Amino acid sequence: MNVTIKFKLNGKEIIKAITENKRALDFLRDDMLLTSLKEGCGVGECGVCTILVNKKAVNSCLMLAEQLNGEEVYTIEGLIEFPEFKKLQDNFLKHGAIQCGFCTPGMLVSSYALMLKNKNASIEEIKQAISGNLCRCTGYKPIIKAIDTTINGE
Amino acid sequence: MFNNLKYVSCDSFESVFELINDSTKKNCIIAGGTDVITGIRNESNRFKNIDYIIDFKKIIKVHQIVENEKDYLVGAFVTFTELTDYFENKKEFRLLTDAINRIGNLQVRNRATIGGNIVNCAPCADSVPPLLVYGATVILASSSEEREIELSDFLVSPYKTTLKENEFLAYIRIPKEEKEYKGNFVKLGKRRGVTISRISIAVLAKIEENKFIDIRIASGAITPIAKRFYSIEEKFKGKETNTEIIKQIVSEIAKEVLGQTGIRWSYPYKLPVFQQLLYSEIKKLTL
Repeated sequence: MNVTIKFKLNGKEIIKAITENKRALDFLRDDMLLTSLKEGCGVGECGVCTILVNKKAVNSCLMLAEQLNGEEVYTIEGLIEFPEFKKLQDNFLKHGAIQCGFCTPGMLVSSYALMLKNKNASIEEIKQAISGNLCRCTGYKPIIKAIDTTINGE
Repeated sequence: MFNNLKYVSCDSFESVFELINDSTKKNCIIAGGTDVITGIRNESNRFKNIDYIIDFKKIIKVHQIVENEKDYLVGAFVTFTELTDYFENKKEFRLLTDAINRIGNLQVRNRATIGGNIVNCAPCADSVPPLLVYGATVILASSSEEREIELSDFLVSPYKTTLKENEFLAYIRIPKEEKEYKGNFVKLGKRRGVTISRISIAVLAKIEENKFIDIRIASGAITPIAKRFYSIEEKFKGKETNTEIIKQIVSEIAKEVLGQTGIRWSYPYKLPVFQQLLYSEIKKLTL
């Protein structure tokens, strides 16, 4: 197995030989050491492995590493450079949208993907955008509030 | 589990044919991969002992939607998100975009493709009932020919299509909507989001002066594969749109389902619900 992939990861050009087949999730976590990604369900239901590929939220557990070839990929380790993302993160803290924190990286990526696409999302659109991210602590209300505040102001 | 397979990114149909014409190797074409990757990890039979995974990313033409005079040619590798963005913008195929918007979650729809949903051939594939009522055809490519067949003839049984080992699904052709038709798509699942259809129904009808001129009915997750109910449709033609007539014709649908599949443990619940949902969707169209 020797496929060389070239892609942009968190703003940096990466060229890497894939020596064994693995999922994008395992590749990014184990080889690129991006531990914000987690494995939850492994079947695309829980959203804790969400990454941004060409500005769209996708589950990295449902992608092979080779499929990253040629794409622009972001995880929260890279998104932190963007002021709008920082604002979102601050609002998560301010509104208590974090308890155990396991879902938070995925939630942030999904919320940020929504912010890129829709500059004045409604509550319904916010709920839709995070419908692929499970949180078992907060009951979602503080999360929706944090996203709404970031997009539409207090 | 992934280790024995070789990942190949092809840049033309010819390079794909070269691989799939080799009958000594087992191939798997990957589009979005949302079913393939979980299938391989679960070691499901369909995905056992695969030698090659074939990626079509570089073959641009199967990732595009082309508008022709009478139809749209949709590349099999168009993602659900691309498809709904395109047709919502054109205000076409609302039943299809409604159905797709209820598949999985946003992350899945950003990767999963229309071709993948069809080829996977799950009984509950949500894009299929709308495509059936819109009269979609599928275009299958092989090194010797390109054949175009009705979608309903392509689907055989759960997870099985008429696709031969040396061909692949390249495009889906959807005839442009006739504007005098009205329709609805309804899905019943355990929740609103991230849920698998227990019952899905697509209905498209042409009604003039309180009479059914034409009606097309398809369901998902009721029969082993999504299905059009041609004999029931025929009974509606020329009939008046009153409640009693709709109720009476719809009540015959259970018999048709049972005739095809026999009794199943879920039917005492499913069939009455199916019948009632179908009745109310058709009724809505007559109002």
